[in-house]
Amino acid sequence: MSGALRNLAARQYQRALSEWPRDALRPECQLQDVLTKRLTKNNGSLLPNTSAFNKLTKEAKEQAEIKQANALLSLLENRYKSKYRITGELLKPKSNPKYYSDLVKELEEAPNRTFFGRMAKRLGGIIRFQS
Amino acid sequence: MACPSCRSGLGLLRGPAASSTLRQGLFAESTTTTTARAAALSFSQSSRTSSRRSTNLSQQQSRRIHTTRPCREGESGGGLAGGFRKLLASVAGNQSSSYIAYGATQRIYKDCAKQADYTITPEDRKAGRVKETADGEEIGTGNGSIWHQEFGLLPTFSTWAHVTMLHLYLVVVRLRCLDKDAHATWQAQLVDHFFHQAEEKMDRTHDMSSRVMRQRYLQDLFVQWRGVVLAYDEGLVKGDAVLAAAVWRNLFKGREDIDVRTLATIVSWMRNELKYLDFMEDAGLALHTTLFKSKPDAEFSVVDKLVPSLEKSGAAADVEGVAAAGEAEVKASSQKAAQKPKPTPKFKTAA
Repeated sequence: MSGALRNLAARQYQRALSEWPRDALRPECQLQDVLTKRLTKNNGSLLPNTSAFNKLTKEAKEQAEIKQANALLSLLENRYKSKYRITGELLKPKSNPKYYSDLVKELEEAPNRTFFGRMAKRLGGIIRFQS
Repeated sequence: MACPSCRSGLGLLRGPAASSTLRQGLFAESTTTTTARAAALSFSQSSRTSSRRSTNLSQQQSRRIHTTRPCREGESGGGLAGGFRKLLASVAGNQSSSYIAYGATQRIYKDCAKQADYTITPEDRKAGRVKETADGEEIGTGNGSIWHQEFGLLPTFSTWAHVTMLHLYLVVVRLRCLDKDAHATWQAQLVDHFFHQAEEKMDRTHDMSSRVMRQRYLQDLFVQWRGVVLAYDEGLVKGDAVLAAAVWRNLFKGREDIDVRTLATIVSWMRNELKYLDFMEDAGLALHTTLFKSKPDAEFSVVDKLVPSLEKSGAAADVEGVAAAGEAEVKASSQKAAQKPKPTPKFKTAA
């Protein structure tokens, strides 16, 4: 792979990783942080340091780099969500139609709850009223 | 002697009396055997049968010897058909369905559990040949599945548990679309099967005879299961990047040397399976032999399709193996890729 292509790939990686969605619930365990660290450690290479990749030839490594960058960008552009779009009732389940909307609301509220808020939530979960 | 050709031979015998007595004798014989068989059935059925035969005995002398029982419609517990109806009713949330759901969920669970199964033979354990990871987990021998080979996961208990939980999660998403009661029954039974076999694996495969230790690990596994369901639900709703991060944290335990192409393949496969399950009717949960359409390696071609930004930059031409160096040649090769490529012979052929 030419030097120009390598620089282009490195720039693409950095752009992709900066655009990666931040996870508020797990601040210490983020995929983009691990990948950025690997990029800086390996001089702009995204290949993992495993035996399967280490024993590849130079050309094969370049092709693998392109595939890694491609995978990263395809995840960011939601390729699989749009290709296998859910058109039926799966996201509005009959047993609880508000399941996913409640989940999203809960995931937004949970990181910002105070100590007393968390205790109140736990008590509410213990004393549940059957509808 | 009851077949038509034999019976026609009876008519050739001398005298009508001879044929009639013979037929009577045959009929009496068949009557006794029938009543003997009927005695083995329920009392009401046999009395009905024998009384019917005794009144019709004289009338049926001229008719064929064998008579079949008329088909009784609407009979409860009607063998295969009745079982089929009960199975479908259980998916619809019938009150007495938890016993039916047990068998159906066991079949679904076994399908999930065999995906990344592994073994540790007692001979290896006795000989002290069982290897361990850095964290102290025992490594067994995998069943050659894609999870152990292409995706680079070690055949340990936690790999098996997480691959099984991944498959169970996909089924659980579909089970949510049943009625409230049916959903509660089916999900509870499915998860029970998993934890039951998890403890069995700890005891048998890993030689963990202490119930206290097993209980502690099972509690940890339950917390992991709840975490897995939450994380994958979040990824399902929010997008591919979030789902990939969830798979990385759970299945690959957040390890540093992760292969992003593997994550993309698993995400693609999960979404494909969910779409397939979305189209499946409720009855399909009870009737299909397997709920999983394909294995993850079918998605490699989908994942390796280049994004537009990489395709434009000439990476496609580079993958075809055109020798290029420097920016100018990269631009030229991208132009060449648009035209029809002329094959350049690498070897001198005889022709």
